[in-house]
This record gives sequence, structure tokens and C-alpha cells, in this order.
Amino acid sequence: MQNALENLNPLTSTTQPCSHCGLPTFCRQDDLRVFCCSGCMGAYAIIRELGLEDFYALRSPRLVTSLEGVAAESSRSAILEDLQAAGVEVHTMADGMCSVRLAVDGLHCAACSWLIERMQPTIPGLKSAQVRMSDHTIELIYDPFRTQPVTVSTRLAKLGYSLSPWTVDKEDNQGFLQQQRDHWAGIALAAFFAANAMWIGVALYAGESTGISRGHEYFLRWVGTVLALFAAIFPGRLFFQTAWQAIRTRTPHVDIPVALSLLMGVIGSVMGAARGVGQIYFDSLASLILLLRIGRYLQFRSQYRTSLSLAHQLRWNAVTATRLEADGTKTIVPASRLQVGDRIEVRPGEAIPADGLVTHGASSVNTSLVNGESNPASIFIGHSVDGGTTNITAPLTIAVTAAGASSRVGRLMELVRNASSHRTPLIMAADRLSKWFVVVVLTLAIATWLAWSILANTAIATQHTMALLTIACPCALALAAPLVITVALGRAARRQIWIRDGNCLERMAVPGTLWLDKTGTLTCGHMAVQKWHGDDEVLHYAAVLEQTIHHPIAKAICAFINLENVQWIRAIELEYRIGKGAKGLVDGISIMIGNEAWMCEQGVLISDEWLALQSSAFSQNHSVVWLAVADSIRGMFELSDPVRADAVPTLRSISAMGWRLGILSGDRQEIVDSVTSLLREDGVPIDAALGQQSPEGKLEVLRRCIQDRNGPCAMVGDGVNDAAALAIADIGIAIRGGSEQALYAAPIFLANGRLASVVELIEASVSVVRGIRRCFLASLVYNAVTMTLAIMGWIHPLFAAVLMPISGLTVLAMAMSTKAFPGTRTK
Amino acid sequence: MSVLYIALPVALLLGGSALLACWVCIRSGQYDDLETPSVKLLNDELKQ
Repeated sequence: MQNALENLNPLTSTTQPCSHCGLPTFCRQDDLRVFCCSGCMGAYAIIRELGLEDFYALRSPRLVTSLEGVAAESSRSAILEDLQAAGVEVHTMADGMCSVRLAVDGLHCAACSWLIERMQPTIPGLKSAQVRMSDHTIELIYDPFRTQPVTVSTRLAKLGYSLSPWTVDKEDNQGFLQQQRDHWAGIALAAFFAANAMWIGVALYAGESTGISRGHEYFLRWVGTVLALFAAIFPGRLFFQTAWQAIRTRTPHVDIPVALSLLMGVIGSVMGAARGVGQIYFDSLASLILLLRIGRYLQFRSQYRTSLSLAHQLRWNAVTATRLEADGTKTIVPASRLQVGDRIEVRPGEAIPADGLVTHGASSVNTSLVNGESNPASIFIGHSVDGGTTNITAPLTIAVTAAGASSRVGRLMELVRNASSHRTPLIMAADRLSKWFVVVVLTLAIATWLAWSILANTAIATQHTMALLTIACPCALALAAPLVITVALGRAARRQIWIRDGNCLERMAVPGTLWLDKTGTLTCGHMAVQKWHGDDEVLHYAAVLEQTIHHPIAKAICAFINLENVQWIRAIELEYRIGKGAKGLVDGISIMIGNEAWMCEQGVLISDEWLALQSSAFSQNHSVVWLAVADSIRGMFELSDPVRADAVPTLRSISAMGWRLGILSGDRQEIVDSVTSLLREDGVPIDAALGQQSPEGKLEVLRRCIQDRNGPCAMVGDGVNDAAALAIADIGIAIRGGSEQALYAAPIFLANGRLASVVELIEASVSVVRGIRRCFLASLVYNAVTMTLAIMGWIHPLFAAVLMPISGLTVLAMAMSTKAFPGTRTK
Repeated sequence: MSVLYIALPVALLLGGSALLACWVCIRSGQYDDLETPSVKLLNDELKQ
């Protein structure tokens, strides 16, 4: 046992990545293969047994598998036992085989799909297992009389891949595929029309300089025009439809100017064809439609990718419940199927799936996700517990009093939905600019036509006006903003920053107010020992006793004590009391660990000197745990929830950028104050520190902050209690480690769990806005210069046709070179 | 009668038939998943 402890200690051994999962191990380096745990060793053995060792050669180097959720695996597999209950659709095929599509977690690269598909022959009755990398799903075709998905799931779980019900809405997925097909079909059509219109255009331009017969010119003009009209009617219809909808609902939309410009192109083409002389427009019209369709597709794809990645993240939080049936058996059901009156069992470490009353057991419960309280609450028979909290120490049996929408979490989610729907849509700069752009161009066109009609004749006037309308291209304006944002979103996603609402990126460029949740956001969200008063030589007694306990405070004490020096002796005659402490015999000596009440109960006297130390610790809002050896006090641990390591530098740089900082916590005011003073000592200016905030209170603070209109209001949080505030904030940022409710509510999700990413976000936001402005400026300068030339009548039709796509391409290149999230390598 | 009046519609028809083929491919779902086939290629190579 002592050996095992030594191996676990990072100080005594060199680290070498595990041969299976790549996580650091603490084994000797001279081993041929090293494993971080017996699980990986087992997985390696299975893979070798099946003759699939090529997996290690195929997979991406430096692959690190996440070990999270391995513990919950058994319950996830169990949910597949009853596919009907889990809401999975099973198709029975003509030959009696069943087919089912399930989500796979843990897919990283080619090796994963290879490994999974090679599993198929080893499971009797499994006809095929096809992995789809694009949405991380697997399609199992199996003989229902010989095998079941749960068998496959258990098998794959051993390899580190877990299967779960395909929770992304089936209709959603079908809708995506349908839309993607529509986009591709549109692009193909537009490309066909554009290419053909272009070569007909080339023929006409060539004919203009070398001579062309009248008949041929008419014919070519009409064919080109018909092609462009088809382009406008089929692939271009999308823009007219959205523009029409925008006009009907009176909301400005980028598609309005785009549609207008297309309409002008159509009129220009038809008039040009009818007159048979002068400038041609159909080639520009067709290529404009192609460019716009490509831009639209890229935008659609990146948005869907972001939401899909988020769905992946969220799927793993799907909560299951262990229901105790009347006959004493246990069934695992999705939490959503629980009903009032059901009795459920919650093991230590599991989330409580519904509100209820404890009918059996005593434990402590971490409620920080629901109310921000950092100290775990003690729970006994008869106490009520909220869904979404986590059971820590001992199994509990709970009678459900409210589940689903009527539970506390459900009601909070209702609040979130309302807050989201009240968010006013931000009118993008592109819309405002292009609105003006269209007005200006139309006015100029009318003025040009009138002026040239007076100066020359209507034929020349029409020609110059058309040149103006062709060369004046709002497409750069329409494309720039979405493109710059799309590029930034893609780069952010590679840094595990998921952004669902691109507008958020724009809003963060201006300094405003940043509200931070305390527990789990500013702090680590769990206890850690801050100070130890006493002799180091008695510490190993504490370690030995605390090793046996599953409690956050015990974990913190074990983490604090250097396990290298611990003499491993078994503790016997153990006794625990929830909310108080523990005692036991180590080496024949009675050891007690616990709070003041526990010591008093055990008859241990605490001297006044020690009590003075305790009150000074209390004044800093630290929790205190006593250690008594042989019935006398030998030391005292001071514990608190430590501030995240990256919090101080992050907050400093955020405030250096001109942001006001505020703390918004559900925890007690004194604790919030002590964290605030700690941060202030480190030079972080905190403008407001509000404690004891209910979720509704947080929402109200944010609402008032938004009404002040003093810059954008951002909120960073991780818990259910932050969800409503995150949803209403101008910029809601959820941080990993919290609850899925916060993630649903927030448009930005930091999956990397780093607070420092907020700085990256702000910097990216500044460069995104700068990039958009640069594109706008370039586009406006181009339009101003060329439009002036066109009005003067100096623009040759050929020149206009060449310039127009060049301006579009320049904007594309500029958008791609935006410096948001620098240093992110593309795939 | 110039050859252009025949050649141009024929060229467009040829192009149009290719477009139709492309359309059919897209609608049949051939392009729905562009990632797995590229990965599968690697797997098959290894098998040989």
C-alpha cells in the first residue's frame, strides 16, 4: 500500500505518458509500456487480445483521452437497456435486423473509427457498426435475438468510447442535412449559371473589340440574360425571400440591399438585352449570386458546427436516476421520466436528479450550483433537497416531490427562456451601413440619370446609371461582417471557446461592466487548506483518517498533506458524523478530526489560545477543522475555497482594458467580502461585491446594469443560479465545470475552463470589430472612387465587370486575415 | 445559319446534364458526410 502511495506521488517519480490514453503516469521510465491506471492497462490488453494493436500506430500523436465520466459509464450503459424509455428510435428492417443510431463520445481521429468498426466481428449478432465522424454517431445493425445495443455499449466502454442515446433532435439533424443539400445544390446551380454567363460575356467583350455580327451579338446577349435570370430565379431566390420577409416584418436585414442590387442587375440585364447595345450586366449578376451563395453556406456551416459541438458537450451531462420500484428492484431511468412520489437512490458523487425529501440516509450535499453556497450542507432524513445539487458522502434515498419543469431547476430554466426571448436583437453595423448605402446609391443613380439626360440624351444617361449600379457593390458590406465573425468563431472553437451568438463578439469590443460569479468562477469551487497550525509530525494521522472519507474537506486535507512522508497504517474503529467530523484508532492512538462541536461532543478541551486562532480564522471566513491526537488538540486546519490561480492576472488585464468589475454571488456576504478584499490586495479593482443574491436577484442586477446603458454588461458564471443572468446579459459567458443549465443559457461557453479565456475573448472582439471596420472602409473607399468615376461616365463596361469581383475578393482576403485569436493553428 | 445557334444550346445542354448529375448526387445524400470516407480510406489501406 505504501508502494502505491509512492507511485501516486508526482515528486518521487518521473512522468511518462500512459501507453493507452496518453495521460501522465507516475511509473518508472524503463518500463516498456506504462499505464496511468488499471483501466488503461485492461483496455490495452483487450486491444492486443483482439489483434488490434495497429490502433496505436494509427491514432493521432499526443492524444489525451479525457477520463471524465468514466465513473458514470455504468449508468449510461444501463440507460441503453431500455431503448424505448430512453427515447431512441429502433428501426426493424425487412430481414429482421434492427438498426439504431447512437452517439459516441471519445472519438478523436481516424484510429477511433477504425477501432470501433473492427470491434464488430467480435460481437456475435452485430451485423455492422458504422461510425460517422461528422456528427460523432454510430449506426448499429444487429440481430435483436442475439445481441442488444447495451452489449455493444459495454464492450466499447472498455475501450474508452461511450454510447448514449442520440439526443440531438432527429428532426434537427434531418433539417441540417436537408439545408446543407439545398446549399450545395444552390451553389452548383449558381456556379453553372455564373460560369456560362461569364464565357458568353467574354465572347461579347471580345466581339466588341474585334467586331461581331449583329445577329450573333443579339443571340449571345439573350442567352446570357436568360442564364442570369435563371440564376436570379433559382439560386438567387433565397435572397429575395429573406429580403421580402424582412420588409414585411419591418426588420432591417442584410438581404434587403443584396436583393435590391440583384433586382437592379436583373433589370439592367433585361434592358441591355432588349436594347442590344451598350453594357452587359448578366455576367456580374450571375457571379454575384454565386459569391453570395458561397458566403451564405460558409456562415450556415460554421454556425451549425458550433451548436453541434455544444450539443456534444451538453450530451454528457444527461442525467439519469436510479428508481427504486415497489418490489425493491432498481431501474435506471432518464431524470425527465421521474414522477412525483417516485423513490430514487442517489449514490455519493451523483447529481440529485429531482427535488425531493430524504427518506433514508444522511449525507452532505454540495449546493453551490444551485445557490452559490460554497460550504456543503448536511442532509438528514426529512430534509428537502433540490435537483441539480450533488450528493457527496453517503447514499441517499429520496422521495420525489417535484421533477422536470416544476422542480427548482426547471423553474430557473423557465426564467432563462424568458430572459432569452426578451433580448433585443442587435442590429448589425452591416445592416445600418448597407441601408444608408442603398439610399445613397439610389439617390445618386437618379441624380446621374437626370444630369446625363439633360447634358446628353437618355440612352447615355441610362448607360451611365447602369454602370453606377453595377459597380456599386454592397456585397463587400454584406459579406464582410459575417465572414470576419465566422472566421473568429472557428478559431475560437479550436481553443475550446464555443460561441453560439456571433453578435456577442462584436459587443465585447467596447469596455463595459463585467459581473463575475464567485463560487466556481472566481474560485476553484472546492475547499483547499490555506493554513495548518500545529506540528507537521502529527499530520500523517490526519492523512490516514481522512483517506477513508469521501468529503470535500477530507479531500482538501489529503491534498494538503505531503503523502510521501505518510506512514501507511490502517485506521480502525472508524466513526463519522455528518456535518461534524470523524474519529478512529490509528496505531492504537485515538485520532479525531472535526469542528468545534465534534470536539466538545467527544470531550476534547480546546484551550483559549487555540480558540483565539479559530476566531481570527473565522474573521477571514475560513472554515476550521481541528485535529486531536490522544484526546488533546494538536493542530488546526484553516480551509477556504481558493481563488483560481489565473483570476488575478486575468482580472487585472480586464480592468486594464477599461472594464468595471463586479462580483455577484449567492454565497454569504462575509465570504464574498473576504474574497473581494483578497483580490483588492492583489491590485484588482473590484467596483461592487454583492453577496446573498438569489438567481432572481442576479437577473435584476444585470437588468439594471443593462438599463444604465453604460457600456455592455457581461456576466461570467457556472451554475444554475447564474443561468438567468447569463441569458439576459449582453454577453453571457459560462465556464466549464458548472452545470449544463448555465451552458444552455449562455451564448459563450468556455469549455477549456480557463478564466483567462475571457481576456482572449475581449481581445478577439476588438480585432473582430477592427477587421470589420477595415473591410467596411476598404469597401466604402472602393465604392466612393468607382462610383464617382461611373457618375462622370469614365468607367468602361469591361473595367466595371473586372473591378466588381476584385473588390469582393479583396474583402474576403481581408476578412480571413483578421487577427482574432492569434496563433491558433488551422487543421 | 451560323453554327453558333446550334453549338451554344448544345454546349449548355451538355453542361446542364452534368449539373443534373451533380444535383442527383447531392439530393441522394452522397455529400452528407465528407469526413468519414476520407478516414475510411486510411483504414482500408492498412488492411491490405
